[in-house]
Amino acid sequence: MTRILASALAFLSLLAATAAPAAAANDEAGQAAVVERAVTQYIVPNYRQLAESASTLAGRIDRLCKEPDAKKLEDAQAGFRELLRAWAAVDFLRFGPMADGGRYERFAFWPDPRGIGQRQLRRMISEANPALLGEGALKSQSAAVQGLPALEVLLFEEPVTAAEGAFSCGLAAAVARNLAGIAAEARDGWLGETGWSRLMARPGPENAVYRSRAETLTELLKAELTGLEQTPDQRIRPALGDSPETARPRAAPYYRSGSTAEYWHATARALTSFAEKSEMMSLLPKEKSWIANSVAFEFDNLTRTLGALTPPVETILTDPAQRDKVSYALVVFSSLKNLFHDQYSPAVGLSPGFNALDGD
Amino acid sequence: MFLAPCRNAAGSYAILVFTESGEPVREVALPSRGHDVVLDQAGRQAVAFARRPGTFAIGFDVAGARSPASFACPPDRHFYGHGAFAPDGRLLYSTESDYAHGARGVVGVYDCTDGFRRIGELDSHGIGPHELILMPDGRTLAIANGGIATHPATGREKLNLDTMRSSISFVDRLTGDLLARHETPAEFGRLSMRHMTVDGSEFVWFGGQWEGSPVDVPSVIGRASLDSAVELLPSGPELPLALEGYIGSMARSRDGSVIAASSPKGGRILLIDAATMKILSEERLFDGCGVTGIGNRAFLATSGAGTILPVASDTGPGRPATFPVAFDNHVKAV
Repeated sequence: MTRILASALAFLSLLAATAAPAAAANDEAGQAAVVERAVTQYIVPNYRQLAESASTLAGRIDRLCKEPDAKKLEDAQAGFRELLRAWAAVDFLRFGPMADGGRYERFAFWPDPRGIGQRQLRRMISEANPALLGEGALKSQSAAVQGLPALEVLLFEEPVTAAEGAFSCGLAAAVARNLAGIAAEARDGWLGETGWSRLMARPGPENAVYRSRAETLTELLKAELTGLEQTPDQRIRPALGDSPETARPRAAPYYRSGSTAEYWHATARALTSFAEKSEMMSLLPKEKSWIANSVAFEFDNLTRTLGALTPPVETILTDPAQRDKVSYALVVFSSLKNLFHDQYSPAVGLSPGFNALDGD
Repeated sequence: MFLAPCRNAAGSYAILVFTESGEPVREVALPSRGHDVVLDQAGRQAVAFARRPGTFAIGFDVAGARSPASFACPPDRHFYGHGAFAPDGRLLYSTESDYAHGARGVVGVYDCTDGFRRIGELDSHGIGPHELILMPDGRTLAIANGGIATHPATGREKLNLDTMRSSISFVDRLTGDLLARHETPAEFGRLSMRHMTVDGSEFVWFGGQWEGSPVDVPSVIGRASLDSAVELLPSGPELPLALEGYIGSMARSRDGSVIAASSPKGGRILLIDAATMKILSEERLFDGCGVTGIGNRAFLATSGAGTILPVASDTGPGRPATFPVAFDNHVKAV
């Protein structure tokens, strides 16, 4: 076996020597700069923000549980909405430390069509086991009760300011601390000598994750495309239905806190900002600069449209004028996805997800 | 020697042939995107299939002495991208869709000695078949029925996710008799079993894709045999999430003791001990999908970014190299 592997290795190094240079239209330095900007200007600051928002929220819920009143509940609910906005800024980045160790799913177990989270949460509340409120105790529980959707139920549907809601409040505090811990791990995973920033900055044969610059750039593009796909497919279309009669507000993300439209809007701003901060359009050859213009135009349409919705989500999904806006946003999502996938990618010599299409 | 469908630097689709000594031998042109390439047991002739819902296939001899022969499935069928030769190399079996009837799975039978004339058809005993392999007895076909109905008129859109059910069927290739059929466990109805390989103990190992919630993912790797039901690879909740509920290809080591599973979405290649079902190693490979056995512990993996990486359960990853191509889902060692 060793001999076979050794000959395979010799054969591979020969291949490397004979392989032509990559066909990418871009110089290495330009690509490296895009990746660096994406990491330092967008990814790291947004994970810092996520960790900060989660920690702020955990503090507010602690204070709420100690001395519950309406004002403190309001503060906690506002903190939840702020954390949700911070989450929208990174929830399309399905790689890096947040994608490891089930962190992403523990942070936000969504979509949950079988209602696992609800079921388990209700059981926990009725059993009211104080051991679950201890430091780190939630980690061993199902991901469905560890993150944002569970916290939303607790803060917006449970009587956390009343005496009978004391356990729910304690559970909310535990979930918020858990979120703060996950967010801090995700942030720290990007930093330092062995951090993910370093992995993305130095691709090569010795790098255990990224073997070429093109892979790191493709990772960014894949993230942009993930956001442009998962938002319409999972977060909008199932709730919108084909008509006001078939709309399903309860399939909308974070409807319990009335945050659906804000979450959609924050997502549109995040996807815009990720493309802008990385300056990924700078890699386009001159004759393809129309792509950058079209992308900017469509991002502007998207953000404006989703920013013009008037909650509550039930109205957004049933009022014909608002439905039209949401439908238009779906068209823009699709246009952006085509621009990135069919125009931008080949123009800069990348093949995002060549092998990752469902069904092959 | 290795055969791998790819998109080359010029943007055309081809089978890239490269030898043990490191020479890219040649490209066999494909009219459109390919999927798998299969070899006969002698390692002389090969057939590359169109990616679904394509209808072309190209037969060629590995040595390159004769010019490739293209053939097609009937007009009311399309290929799924996989097939297998009979042991003597005279017949070829391919998974196909009878799409006018809800993507009923059929197995096309082609005569390799007569210009790949289609001489018959078997039932795959399921909807949306994907990979089909020949069992070591030389007579039984194992077919992964993915359970997902699609129609060429709607491209790759999945039409029956609410009612889908995947199965592995064992079919006698000479009589068409169904010998056994194992469905996914009831609670994992949205798991589509698609790619397969067979280990040294005649267990068929499958890699699947999860069509349910992306945060509520079961194991997408498992095994079954003629007389044992589907069994999922035991793992904590984190592995299926890291694989993003998606396996792109399966392969066995030369002696069948180690199984490789690739997840292009999760960018990971897993090596699994076939006897104990334990994971022996996990390597990262960005968009890594093609994998083929090159030793009793070693595999070669390929990626959509053009990287080839040797991986071994005992010695870890070898040195990668990058080609100016995008390797497609599968690679085969001759």
